Amino acid sequence: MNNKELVVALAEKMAVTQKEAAALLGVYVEEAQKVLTVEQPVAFLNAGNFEVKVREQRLSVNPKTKKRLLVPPKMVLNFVPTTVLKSKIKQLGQDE
Amino acid sequence: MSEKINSKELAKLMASHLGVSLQASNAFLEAFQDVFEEALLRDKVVKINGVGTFKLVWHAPRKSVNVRTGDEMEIAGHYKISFLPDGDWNTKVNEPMAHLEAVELPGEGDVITVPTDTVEDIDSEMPLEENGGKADDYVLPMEHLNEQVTEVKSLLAGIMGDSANMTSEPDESSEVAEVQESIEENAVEEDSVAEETIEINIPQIKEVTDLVSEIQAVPEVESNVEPNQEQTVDDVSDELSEESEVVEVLPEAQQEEPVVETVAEEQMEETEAEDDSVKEEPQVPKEQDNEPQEPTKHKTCVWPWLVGVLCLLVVAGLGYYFYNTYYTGDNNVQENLIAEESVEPVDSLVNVAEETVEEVVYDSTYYFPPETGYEAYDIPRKYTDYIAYRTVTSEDRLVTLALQYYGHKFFWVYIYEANRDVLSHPDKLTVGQQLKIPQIDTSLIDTGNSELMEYVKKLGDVYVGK
Repeated sequence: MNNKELVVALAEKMAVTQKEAAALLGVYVEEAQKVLTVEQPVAFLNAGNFEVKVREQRLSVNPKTKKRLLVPPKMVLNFVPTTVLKSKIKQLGQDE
Repeated sequence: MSEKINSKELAKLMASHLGVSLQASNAFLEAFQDVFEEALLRDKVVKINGVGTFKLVWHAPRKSVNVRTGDEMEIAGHYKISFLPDGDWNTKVNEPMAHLEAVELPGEGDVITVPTDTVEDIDSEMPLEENGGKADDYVLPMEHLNEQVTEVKSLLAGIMGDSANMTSEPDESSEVAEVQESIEENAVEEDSVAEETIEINIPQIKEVTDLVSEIQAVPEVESNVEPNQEQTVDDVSDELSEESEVVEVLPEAQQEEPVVETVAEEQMEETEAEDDSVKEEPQVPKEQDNEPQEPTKHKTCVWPWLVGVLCLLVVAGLGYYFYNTYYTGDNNVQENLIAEESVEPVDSLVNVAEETVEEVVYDSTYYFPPETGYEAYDIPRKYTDYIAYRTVTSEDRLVTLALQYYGHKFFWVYIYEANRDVLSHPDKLTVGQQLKIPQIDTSLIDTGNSELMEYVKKLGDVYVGK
């Protein structure tokens, strides 16, 4: 399901226009992005949490030139699903 | 991971953002939850703009072993959820560190320069407030040491030729320490004897250099370092007691290295003698404590060289340590002394420093020497129009501001130039400070122009003081 289908489904469920549903979704994403920091994970519905992980700086060596690079630290977004969602997903059988 | 923002709080934020009731936003979240879960379980993939893609990945059944019983078992095939964040959000998350870039480190050979470089890099990358004061105190001794290291290394490399490769690194560094030690001793000695020593040293050097050139003709190369080190210090102590004896010791073929080192020492002595004469005062008593040990050791331990060398290394290390602590610790005292005695050179140095700082404030642009080929961009810039005024927060760096306002981190130099009056150094932003973000001509912030990018990068290096 892509974003468009999601908006359509949301609009249907809430009995609002697609435009309104898209606006609501936009606000939700905006707020979630705003409050997410390293110290502050954000819950995503009942599905899990968004967390920020810090990747430490590391030394890498170019195997060709043997030059050593100090790769700087980096922050990445990480999603940790709740156990409820995980178990639900696990119960799914392969249907291909 | 202390305070988690849960869905309820998020609903509140949404409600206040939209100006709707809490029920409305809760209703949305509920609907969203249902739709999301349904879609995920049905389609195995849900994409949300601005968040990312949730995807269920099939893990095929596989065989494994029960750890406890050792029985073979099969792990059933199952789905796992994977999440791929939207590129937009990922860059947003990484914003505080977006200005960092990979730094190329020098090769493994430079044992002494590598650690200092990395420390400097980290400092400049993460200019935290705490870094301000402490580092400055240690800069002088380190520079001092590095200068000497390079000098001694070049001398050794020039004369030892092939054998330089055979010498392992620790030996080199210990040699350095040794030389440093002997320099200190000589400097101390010279304090007490002052001009006499210098006068005596000059003819010595001439003789010694003559001998060096003679000995260089001899093809034999010394690979055994340790006895030579011993010899060096012996020479030094000999020098200290009977200053003219160096010549007598020389004619033996083994003396190749010691001679070189003594030459190096004496050259450095000469250059440092006058500068150091004021600084070295407080360490005189300590060094005198150390000195008597060396001659006695020389007499008793003629055969077991190794023991002697080890002792000397320890003494050298201690000497350098005390030298450092005295040097850094007594800075203030020394300054007071200097002020009282009103020594001319130091005072004038301080004045010069102040003057240059004042000049820099009014001259907003740095000019590269003409041969670098940056004339096209090396034009005086005047900052009159400002697109924004910014109060510095704890997360702001010049690079992040440049990234935000001009689209590339290298352009921080413009912000720095426009704020020269309040910024003493590009890394020294204080929270609450007002910064002016100047309007820059589009030709000067053209990221596609590689020459310009090179220029601003170089300019940045100059400002940071690399």
